[in-house]
Amino acid sequence: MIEKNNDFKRGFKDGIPIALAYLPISMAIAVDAVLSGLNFSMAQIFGIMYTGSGQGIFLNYFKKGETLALMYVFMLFIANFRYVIFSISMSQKIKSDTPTWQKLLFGVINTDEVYVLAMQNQGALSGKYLMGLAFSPFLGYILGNTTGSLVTGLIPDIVKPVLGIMLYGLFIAMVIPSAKKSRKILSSVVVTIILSYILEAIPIIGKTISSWGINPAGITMITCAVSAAAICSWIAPIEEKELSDIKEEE
Amino acid sequence: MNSQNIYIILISMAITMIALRAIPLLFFKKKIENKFLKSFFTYIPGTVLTALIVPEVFSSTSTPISAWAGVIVAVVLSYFGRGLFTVSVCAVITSFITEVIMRSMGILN
Repeated sequence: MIEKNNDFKRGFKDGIPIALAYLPISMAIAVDAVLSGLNFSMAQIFGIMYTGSGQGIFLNYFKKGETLALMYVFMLFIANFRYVIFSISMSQKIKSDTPTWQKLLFGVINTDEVYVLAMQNQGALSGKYLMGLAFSPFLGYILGNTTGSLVTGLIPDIVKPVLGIMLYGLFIAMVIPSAKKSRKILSSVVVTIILSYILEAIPIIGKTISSWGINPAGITMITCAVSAAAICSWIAPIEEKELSDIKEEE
Repeated sequence: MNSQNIYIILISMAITMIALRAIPLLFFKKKIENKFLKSFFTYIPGTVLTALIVPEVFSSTSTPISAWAGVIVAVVLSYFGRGLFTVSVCAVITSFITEVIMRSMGILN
């Protein structure tokens, strides 16, 4: 029993570097959220979502006035569907005698970075280690989120007009490293940019979607992202070897 | 948008995330072997992020010029391996300085 508790501690310690990296990020996102009009308690639920890109989707739609919850959920689902893959490959790495509640607890606070770190360990991992490993980053993220939502009021008005770019800076910093690593990912980024300008340039598309009573921005975004990924996987499928190369660097 | 609607959106997103992360861990044992699907899921995070950035980023500040300045700095810094926070703070600072300069020159009010 004592040994197993040490496993949690060891995991928690291993996760601290990720926690430190998360803290300022969640803080920046929370600042943007409060500036966009979320109150303190909304911002806390927002942080529990615990997904930088998913929260970005929320902010992007929210600022455009999208009211349909289904649009948010759909885009979030598409953007984070990779967790299904993470979870599938994790399920083969967890010790078979791990209780279900430990798997569940680890699962709900798993992230890309935690996944990568966990997969670098040799052999099967105990549920307690994984819970510890996932827990410290989660704590860091929540701490940053709460701090961010509290300090927003202190930000001077003169800086506010340019703060909108902060979130895009985060996104750019998430995309560029994998685009640098793989020419295929870079191509998919370029394809997405082209598609998104094409859709933007055809006003009839936006008008048609608006006439259905839906905000066109969200539909355009999903269409771009999904079709760019589909086109690229069709023309340039990613080989098994490249897959592990890209994942390692993330 | 009323606050009840915002809560509904936030809570349904949070639940979706929990379900996405936890459910497969409980039920799936097999690996996905389909090459197209594997590629698709590798591409999707990058294309989603890109679709979020473009073209909205250029209207995220007072003028597209300062946004461009911020984007260029962000791309260069992240290319050279700077972390998320450094990149986004530098993008903000760059856009800010650009706007200050433009204001002092009378191009932006």
